[in-house]
Parts: sequence; C-alpha cells; structure tokens
Amino acid sequence: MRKSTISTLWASATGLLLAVLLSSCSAQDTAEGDTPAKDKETRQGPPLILLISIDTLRADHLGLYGHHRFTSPVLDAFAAEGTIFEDASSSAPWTLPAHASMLTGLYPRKHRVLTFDTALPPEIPTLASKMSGGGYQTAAVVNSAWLTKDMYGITRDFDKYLFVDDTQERRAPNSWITDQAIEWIREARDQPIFLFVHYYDVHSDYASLPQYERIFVTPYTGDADGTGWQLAKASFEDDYLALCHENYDPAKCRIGTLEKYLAVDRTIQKITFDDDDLRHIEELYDAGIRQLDNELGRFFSILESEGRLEEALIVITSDHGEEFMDHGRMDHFLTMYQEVLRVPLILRGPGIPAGQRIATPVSLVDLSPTILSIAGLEEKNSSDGLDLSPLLLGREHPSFESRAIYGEASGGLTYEKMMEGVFPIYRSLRRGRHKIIHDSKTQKWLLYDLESDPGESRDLSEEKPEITRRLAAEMRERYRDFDPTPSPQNRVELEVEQLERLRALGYVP
Amino acid sequence: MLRSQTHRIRSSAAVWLIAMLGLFAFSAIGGCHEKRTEVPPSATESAEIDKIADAPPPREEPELVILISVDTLRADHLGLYGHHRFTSPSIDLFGQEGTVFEDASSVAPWTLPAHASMLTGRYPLSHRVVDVDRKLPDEIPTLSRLLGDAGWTTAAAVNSTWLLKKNHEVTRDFDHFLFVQDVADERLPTIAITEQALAWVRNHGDSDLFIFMHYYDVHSDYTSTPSYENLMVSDYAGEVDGTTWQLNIASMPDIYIEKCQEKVFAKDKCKFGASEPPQYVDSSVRKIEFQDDDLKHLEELYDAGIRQLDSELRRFFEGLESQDRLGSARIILTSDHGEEFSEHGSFYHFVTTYQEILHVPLIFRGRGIAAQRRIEAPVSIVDIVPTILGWANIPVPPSIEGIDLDPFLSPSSTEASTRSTEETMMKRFQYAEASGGIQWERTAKGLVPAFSSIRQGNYKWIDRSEGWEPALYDLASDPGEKNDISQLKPGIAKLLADTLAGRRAALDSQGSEENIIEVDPDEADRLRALGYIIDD
Repeated sequence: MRKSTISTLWASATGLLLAVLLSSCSAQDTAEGDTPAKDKETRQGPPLILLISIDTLRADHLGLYGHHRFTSPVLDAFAAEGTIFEDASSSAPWTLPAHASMLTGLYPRKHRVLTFDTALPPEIPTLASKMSGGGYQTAAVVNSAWLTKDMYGITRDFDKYLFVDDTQERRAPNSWITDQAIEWIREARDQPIFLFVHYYDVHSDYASLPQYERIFVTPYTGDADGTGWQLAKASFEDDYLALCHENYDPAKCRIGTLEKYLAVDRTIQKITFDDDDLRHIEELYDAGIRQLDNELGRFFSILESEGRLEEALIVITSDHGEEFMDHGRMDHFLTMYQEVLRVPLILRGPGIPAGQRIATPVSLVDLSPTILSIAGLEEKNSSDGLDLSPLLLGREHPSFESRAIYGEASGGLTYEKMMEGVFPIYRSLRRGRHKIIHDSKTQKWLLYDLESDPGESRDLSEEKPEITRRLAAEMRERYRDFDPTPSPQNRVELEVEQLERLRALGYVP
Repeated sequence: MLRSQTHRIRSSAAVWLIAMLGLFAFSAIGGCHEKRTEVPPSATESAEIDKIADAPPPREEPELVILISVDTLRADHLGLYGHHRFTSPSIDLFGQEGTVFEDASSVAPWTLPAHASMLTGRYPLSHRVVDVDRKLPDEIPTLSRLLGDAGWTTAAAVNSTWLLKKNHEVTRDFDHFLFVQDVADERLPTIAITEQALAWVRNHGDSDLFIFMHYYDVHSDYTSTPSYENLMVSDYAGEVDGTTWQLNIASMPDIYIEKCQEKVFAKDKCKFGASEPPQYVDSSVRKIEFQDDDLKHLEELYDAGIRQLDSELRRFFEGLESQDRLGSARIILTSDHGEEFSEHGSFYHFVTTYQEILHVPLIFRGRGIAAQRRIEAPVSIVDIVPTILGWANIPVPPSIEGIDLDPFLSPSSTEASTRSTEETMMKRFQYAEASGGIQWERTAKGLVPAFSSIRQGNYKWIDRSEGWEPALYDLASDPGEKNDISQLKPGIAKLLADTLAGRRAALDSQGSEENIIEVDPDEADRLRALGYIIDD
C-alpha cells in the first residue's frame, strides 16, 4: 500500500516549508537593518508580492490565534517566520465590500460598494492600478462571483485576471487556484509581480475531503450538516419569517437558484442548534480550514522549490469571519461583532521581522498603503488606511492611537430596499479598546470594551454613557447624509444567472 | 498547584536546553557509560517537584486516565532510556516529571496480542488472542468493561486494523470508538488521534474518563516528513528505504523465498501487501544483504519517525494543558513491542522475543505519581490494568496476572516501602507468548520457529518450537542476549523450562477453539500490507 498522492504532496509541502522556515532565520536577522520603509526611493520592492485572501476565515479558529483544534500547522509555521497582527479588523461583514476595501484602501462609505447592485465607481483608484503604475505586473485569481471583473469591477485593474467558478460548496480544495497562481508567477519571471489570490474553500457549505473531516469530526447523531441553507434557517429574522408566512412573495421569500430553491413558506420554521450541533458545525468548519491550510502548504512549497519563497512578500488575510451563535446568528452578512470583523493578518517576507506579534488594532484598509510602501511606491491618492510599516519595524506611531476603525456596509442595506425595517443594519466604530455598535432595528447603541470583554458579551452603554455619547455622536456624524443608493452609472443590473449564483450562496432573497 | 505543574511542560524549551547542555557536557567529558546520569534539578525545581508530588489529589476533579500506546517503540531508542540520537525531547521531559520504569517488558512480539494484554492484564495464553484469526473471548473482562461497570466513560482512539471493535474485539467494551485508519505507512503524524482524543476529553469533562490512544506512526514503513528526516538522516547512497516490504524480505528464511520462487508454495502463501497492487515473493525478489551503512540508515529513518511522534505527543500534552487537564490527569506512555535491527539476524517484529522486541518504554506521569523517579525492578505491560483499577478503587479480579504498580508510583513511598514489591517483581515469572511463528507454522511449517519466553529476575529462558535450540540468558551481564548460559546454569534453565511447559500444558488444555474467527478479505489485505502473512 503506497501513500496517496495527496498525502505525499502534503508531506513534501509541510516538510519543505518547515525546512525553509528554519533555514531562513539567520538570513532575516542580518537583513533587519535593510527595511523597505527607510529608503523608498533607492530600494526596489520585492519581486513578488502575494496577497492571499481566504474567504470567511475567523482569526480565532487558527492555531496562531489560540484555537484549540489543530487547524493550521502550515499557517502557524508560516506566521512564526513573519509578523502577526493580533487585532486586525475587516471593514464589512461580507465578501464584496470587504474585498473592495482590501483592494482600494478605502472604507465602504468611500468606495461606495455597499449593496448587491453597486459596482466600484471608475474614479476610485485601486491598489492594482497603482502597482501597475509602479512597474508591477498584476494578476488576480479569484473564485467568487463578487470578485468578477465585469460585474462589480473590484478586480478591473489587474493586468491578468482569472475567474474560477464558485467552489465554496465543493469538498475538494481549490488546487486550481494555486496552480494558476504558480503558473503566472513562473511566466512573470523577469518582472516584478503583484498577485491577488482568493480561496473560497472555508466558506459554507462547510465541506472538505474525508481525510480532513476525520481529524476533527467527533461522533455526532444530529441533523446539522454545515450547509449554507441550514445556516440561513438558523438565522432567520422572526419578522422576515412572519412576513413570508403571512404573505408569501416569491421575490422575497425564496432562497437558492431558480431550479433549486428554498421557499420560505409556512412549512419553513426557524431551526435551532444545540451545543452538540454547534460543536459539529464548528468541527466541519475547522476541517475546511485544515484542508485549506494544507493547500497553502503546497503553494508555499512550490514557491520554495522554484526559489521564489524567500524573495516574496506574502500577506495572508480574510475578508471576514463567521458566526457560530456567538450573538444569536450563524453565517455572516449583517452584524459587526468581532466574530465577523476580526480577521487574520500575517505578513512574511524580506525585511518583515520574524516572530513578531503586534497588538495595535489595524484594519483591512491599511493593506493597500502598506503594500505600496513595501513596494517602494508613493501613495498618491490618500487612503483611509495607514501604512503599517512603522508597526512592522516595532515603532509605535501616534496616528494608530487616535484613529477610528469602522465596520460598515452591513448586508441589511441590501435587504432594506426590498423589505424596509425587517433586517437590521449594523454599523460599528472603534477607538482603541472601545467599540460601539449600532443596530438599526432595535435602534440600540451597544458599547463594548474589547480589552476586558473580547467576546462582546457585556454592553457598557449605560455604565459608560460619556464614551457611548461621544462615539455615537461620531458615528451619527459619519452617516449624516448617507445614502447607499448607487449612482445610475454604477448600478449593477444583475442578470438572472448572476443573481442565482448569489442566491445559491444563501444570500436572501 | 495544578497550574505550577502544568506550567512545567510549557517551559519545556528551557528545560530541554538545559538538559541538552548537560548531555553535551557529559558526553564530552566522560563519553558514554552504561548507567545514565540524570541532570540534577535545581534546588527550587526539586522543591517545586516535591510540593507537586506531595499534594493530595484534588477531590473535586474527575479522574482522567490516559493510556498512550506508541506502536513499535523500542525503549532504547528514546533519550530517557539512553539513546544517542535526540529522538524524544518531549517524552524525556514527560519522563522527568513522572516515574520511569527502566525495565518494562511486553508480552508478545506483535500488535494484536500485546494490546490484548495491555487492555486485559493477562498474558496471551490467558486471553487467548494468540494468532491472527483469534478474537478475545467474551468471558474475559477488559479494563474498559471493569471501568464502565464502575461508572467511568471510556474511549479508544486508535488507528490499527488489529484494534477494531469488530473482528478481534480487543476494544469491544469501549463506550466510544474514535477513528480507525491504518496509517503505519504514511509520512505524516497521525494528528487525528490527538485531535479526537482532545475533543473527546473536552466533550466529556464531567465524568471519570479513561481513554486509550494508539499511534501507528513509528511502525514501518519508516516514513516521516522531511523536516524530521532532515534532523536524523545522514548522507546515504544505498537502496534501503525503510519499507515493511524490504524489512520482511530481509527477514525471510532463504528457503521460504526459494520455495515461493520455485512455486512449491501456492501463490497465496507468498503474498504480501495490499491487493492494489499485491506484492508477491516471486522471481523479482532479491534478498538484500544489509551492510552497516544500510542499518544505520534504517535506524535513522526509524528515529526520525520517533522524533515526529514525539512532537505530536507534545502537541497532545499542550492541548490537555490548554484545557487545564494536564495537571490532574494520570498519563501512561508505553508500547506494544520494540523492533529488530538485525541484533539476532532479522528485522521488523512478529516472531522473536528477544529484548529488542520485549523491552518497551513505560512511563507514568500525573496525579498521585512521583516525579523524577526511575524504577529498576522488572515490570510488564500486564501490570497497567491492575494499576488503573487500583486508582479507580475497583477490586482486581483474581484472573488478572499483572501486579499493581502503585507502590512504585506513590510520591510518599520510600525505598523501604517499595522493597517488598521489588522482591515480588524479581520473583514473579514474566511471559512472552503468541509469537508470529505460530502463524508461520501454519503457513510454511518448519521454516520459522515460534518463540516463547519466560523470565524471572534477570534470567530469561527463550524457548522455540521443535527443531530449534532453547537458550538461557542473564540480562544483567548480557543485555544483548548473546551468550547462552543454559549449560552453566542448568538448575535455573530447568526451573524456567518446566514452569513454562507447565503453564503451556495448563492453558492449552483449557484453551477452546471458540475464539477462532474468519479474517475478512479486506482486513487480510490490510494486514498483509503491514507485512503479516495471512494464509487465506
């Protein structure tokens, strides 16, 4: 009996990676003085910059962020050789606006991609166009309909672009994404390359190959299966159900594709998950992470075998996390709690100190200015974010202390147009340890102290009225005159097929 | 209190470093001596250890007993048993924090009968799982049944076909059965065992728990991930690859290979390996003569596997610590048998009962177990069951042949108080039975002997089936079992031979055939892949 191909690949992947990581320690020590931020003008950026976004990856489900299941051996080893941001936040609770922030350096308020029917306005500059202008060949491999070039324009400025069909429901890892990325890195041998890679594997349905499920999935006899439909059923708004039960309107009350949909009629009730169900669901989710981690190991080991790993700046992050009833819901889309906003952020590469953990709160909008800075390029149009280089060099910087970090573009904005007041629109604003969340449905302001209460279980709005008032006023000011309606030229008319694809993801309706 | 104890494993890096420096200094000055020198703990360290050891067990905490069996792990390939390669930093530390039995023996040279003994407290002739087609008879009580009857919750996290609930039924009485997939030939560490065990402990935290864990990683094929091979494997240009297939060919009697090649034996008798594709001892087989550099390479590959498994165990201990269960658990680490590297002419394991096969690690750590203690008295893996039953206050059924080890483990015991147990251990007879030679006898009679052995104190009598000479060894002066002293010590030889013969006569006569099972074809293939010949 010989080893399966997959396990052999895994083995070589992990092994090579670890070997590389071990051998690179000393090199990084000596290179420490030579930092990207110091002499931008004279210094060439890294010949390979790789931005990897793993959709729906909760930071606290990775070993390096303290998870109790062994989900991420490759990422843990990778991170040990780089810098970990312990407190990185996304700007939005779903794929489209969060990636728009990642790839423009702007919050949703500014990049305007707030709902299903908004494309990125042409006048908004993107990271890709700036990198192109700076001499990088740019390429994007994505497998989400939200990230298509034509429809929403998030990836419009990449020189090379490949859309791989949605695969979040598939069990097997998306090795095609990796292979394609590797191919382009090979082709661009003589030119610096900026590559954006998006994996959809961790997203629900929580499905992975049996060898990964076997690691984590413990004996279970319930009905939870990790499908997006179930997650949706467990998260129904009571008045949405009531609305569909009383007056069934196919336009509003169908989830799924035209051929295969869930009619939210009287036969459909909200389902509840008990502790066993939730445990099972998290085990399925974690198996998906482990599988993806393995795929990254394969990616890194190929880079290493071609001599490209050590010269590369690699940034790993996610667009948002995932809810497991932490605050009464599953999935992600509406809320701004930490289980959704907190994402992993790891940088590894030449000049990035190894073994460093940075506690300063940062945001996905910081990625664009940081990548430009490391590439030795000037940030011409101002970003909402900050260049993280000072933090990477171990220097505290006053601008990080004073700034606010936002969570906006709640999926409630999309629903609001069809069913006013049924779904909540969440918004959040954070300064330092304090985070205020506004829920449009209850009209409540919730204040949390993330330092003493990272799980956001204790609302302090009454205990700390002064802070609440100040942050609430700030948020009101930010959304005064706010209108999420896209301008006519940026409106995306979804074709039936496209709409189906989105519906299939469990977005209602 | 628990905190401070659990903390010790977390601060392991520093401790290892100290231990390593100590070892280097020691080997630089004095070279390698027979007797290992322990790195003395600092004053505060030993004070802390004493404090932990003397503390009464916190009553409110439920019991957590963990029995870890690392398949095919030779004791003398671990640092704490004196190995010269740095194979076991985590196990070494684990051993320092507990009680190490320097002279623990298995009872059989292969997985199935040895584990049946480990989980019943009986030698193979008593539990009767002595061949590949036997199951554990219903009337034989298992540790998991006895614990279950007393209200404990039990689980087995295993990855060997031998240890399935069905077929051989060695694990039949466990409440929960987690993960079986034979992975002896895979490079990766079996993280599923670790993860399943941690999850099970987490999910059943309120009751008294016993979990049996079995890792197959060290077993041949000797494969591990490159990062571990890089640590151990030096330059080598030969053809030895650490596969079970090679080890088997190297150990086969020439006449067996000839008879297979000349088709005197039916094809099925010459089949090894799983069905896709099966491997046959046919004309393509060429016997490899292993040279010194081949042997070295082989042991390096084996050691790399140990080092990888050692890392996985550390991960398990850390996982327990993060659940705050490490301090209150009682953990036993052992193996079912060792491995041969041609000490007596063959490789692998299955047939012989020399010390390279029988000498296994046995380490206890945790609640009510003394730290920094090493016990020289000869003990056996059948002693594990009565020890655990003692912790659970369950009376030990008289049919159990093992002896409670608690007098050695208790932090409050003194040299005087353990003396009588030591004497008992020196006087008792230990057996090794269920040699794979029994199976060879059925498949190809007269080619490979069935071994059995009996030991009292340092004398060990090895008996082999008809046609092969028996031998007596004094393990104290001849640990490598090179010099047969049966002519010099005829009285001892006779005592041991007679005792063994008497036992055999008594047990064979009461042995029934009702525990014979049909091995299903899938399982047979799977077992062939592990190098066992299964005659269909």
